[in-house]
Amino acid sequence: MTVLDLAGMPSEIARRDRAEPVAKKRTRGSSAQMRNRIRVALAVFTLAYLVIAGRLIMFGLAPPASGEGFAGDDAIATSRPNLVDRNGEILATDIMGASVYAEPRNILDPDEATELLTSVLPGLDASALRKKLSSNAGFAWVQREITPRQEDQIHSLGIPGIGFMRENRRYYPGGATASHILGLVNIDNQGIAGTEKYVDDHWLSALHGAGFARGEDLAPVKLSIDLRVQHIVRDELADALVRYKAIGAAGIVLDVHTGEVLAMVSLPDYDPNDPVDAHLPDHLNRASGGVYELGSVFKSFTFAMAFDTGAVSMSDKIDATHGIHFGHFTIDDFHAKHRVLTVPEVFTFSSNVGAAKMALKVGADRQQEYLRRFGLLTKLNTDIPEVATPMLPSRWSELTVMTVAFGHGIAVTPLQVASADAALMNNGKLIPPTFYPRTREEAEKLAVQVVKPETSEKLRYLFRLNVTNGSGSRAGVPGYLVGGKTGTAEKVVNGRYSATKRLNSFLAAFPMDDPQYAVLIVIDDPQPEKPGAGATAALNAAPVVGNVIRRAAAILGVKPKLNEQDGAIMVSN
Amino acid sequence: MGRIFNAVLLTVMIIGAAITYDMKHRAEVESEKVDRLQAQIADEKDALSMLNAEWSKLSQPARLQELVQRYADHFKLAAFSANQFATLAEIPQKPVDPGDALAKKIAASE
Repeated sequence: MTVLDLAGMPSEIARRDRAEPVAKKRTRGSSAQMRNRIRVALAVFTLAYLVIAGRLIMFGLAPPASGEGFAGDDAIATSRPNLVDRNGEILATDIMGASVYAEPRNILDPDEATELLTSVLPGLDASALRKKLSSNAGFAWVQREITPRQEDQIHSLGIPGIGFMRENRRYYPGGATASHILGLVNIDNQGIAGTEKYVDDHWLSALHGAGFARGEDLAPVKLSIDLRVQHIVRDELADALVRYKAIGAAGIVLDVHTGEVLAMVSLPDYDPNDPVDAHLPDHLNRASGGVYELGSVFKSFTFAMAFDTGAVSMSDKIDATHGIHFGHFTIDDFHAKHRVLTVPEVFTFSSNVGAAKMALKVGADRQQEYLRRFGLLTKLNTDIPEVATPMLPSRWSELTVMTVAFGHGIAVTPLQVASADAALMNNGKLIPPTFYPRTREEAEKLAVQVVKPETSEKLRYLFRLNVTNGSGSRAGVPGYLVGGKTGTAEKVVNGRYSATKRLNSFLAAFPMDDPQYAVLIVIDDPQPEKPGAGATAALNAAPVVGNVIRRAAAILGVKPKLNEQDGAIMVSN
Repeated sequence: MGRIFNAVLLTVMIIGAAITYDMKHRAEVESEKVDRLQAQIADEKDALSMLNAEWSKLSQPARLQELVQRYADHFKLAAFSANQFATLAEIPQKPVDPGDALAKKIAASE
């Protein structure tokens, strides 16, 4: 009974004698109260149901929740996008790997467990494992990163206290093939070198930080590399390294119209799947991260600036009878002819004296201006982090002008030289090299005209002449009209140029009637193939270029052009 | 009147409860199924990336080159040369077959 009932009491007592009406009134009064209560209850329930209905409508309108949060909970390392080459071949991918661990505290019979585990994982050290399993520890790794097959086998052994942990593992199917371009990841799957680092620095780590980037959702990152060409360059360089007992080598193939890097190799390299020796100093990326005095290939640039400024014309003659004496320095030719040379002869005989004299006609200021235009005086920032800054002469004296003319006294990266070479071949447009696909239209927007188209044409003529009649003849490949320039530079040993330690290079492009690709091969400190033979670029770098072009031209879609003496097209009926 | 109304409401309520329970139960079953399928998809994706990686490893140019070199003698393989490339347009027309007139005659007489 409530307070309300008690309040009604006195009137009821007063009318006690009239039982009937009282009873009636009583019912009437309490039924009114009853009705009130029911109304309140109804209101409360209606409200409750309205809330439920409202919630239902809200759920109905909301997008369906995904059933995530079950699998992959135990993945530890972060996921990364696949890296693929220009044809979609996988260069780097994430695979789910299991690692076996033990809880030694829960292992009943360490001896039996050891025996069973080593039957599946024969590489394990049995006594060390037994010791580990006999301990009282809560957790111990048995083996990181096992194959799914091994996981199955261990699982079916059913050893108590043995478990699996699944984590993402970066896998490079090509091994060392493109190691310097792809770079490396650490144990937590974070990029620490090459494209892996570039991707992290530019967007992936931000994405991970924001909590996005769930494995499969990441679109693959396409590179401009062609895996087949990359393999060919590496294969040929590896061969050359053995044949000429060189300490290192680098090779670059560049599309002259787009600046796309088709292949870039630096030897010795490392296997990114097992990068134990990636940090060694001689394993650095020589192609973009090392600077070298590249020697006579620089004459290409000297000729380009001489023609472009009009300081020298193709019909001029240069006196190379004697070496140039300058203070206590003497500039002389490797194969001195001791006579007056025509301009094409200066190129094909690779005359240092001739090039030096041409550079003097250009002058120090214009020489620097042109080298700057070619991008050879500044750091070339590109899509991988391993980039070196050129080493420039501290003073640009007359002697500097002469030595720079044939590529001494200035150290640049091979990638810079290949990119400048592309500009000399493609009618004078310098296009920054890239490791990502780029169309010709996009390249056109980035291109800077550095020399006149006529200059480019003259250089193409000289490059081709040098292969048909000059020092580059061993780079010739029938049908592909190869053109190029040799460079045999003396290396600096203890502050002096050494006569026996060389850096050989060959800068080429093909086909010369309409160049499509630039190729640069650099071989560090090659030895003569046979005792008594020479070790100049004409004998080692040029044949490597020839082999690369012979094998890669068809893959790159360059159609051979054969004239009669090269052998007519054979058709069998 | 009120009694019938109450009975109807009670029935509706019981039916409503039954339907709700059934719905909830089915939703649970479906959600379990979704979870299972999601797990299966994740497994398949793992397997797919594994197989892709394996395919890529098996079709590496370095591996193919080694195989070619190993079986070069057996299959008489040789590197192609530049003069082995041609487009369809460069291939001369096949000469018209004059046919075997005698054979035709024999065929006609039979």
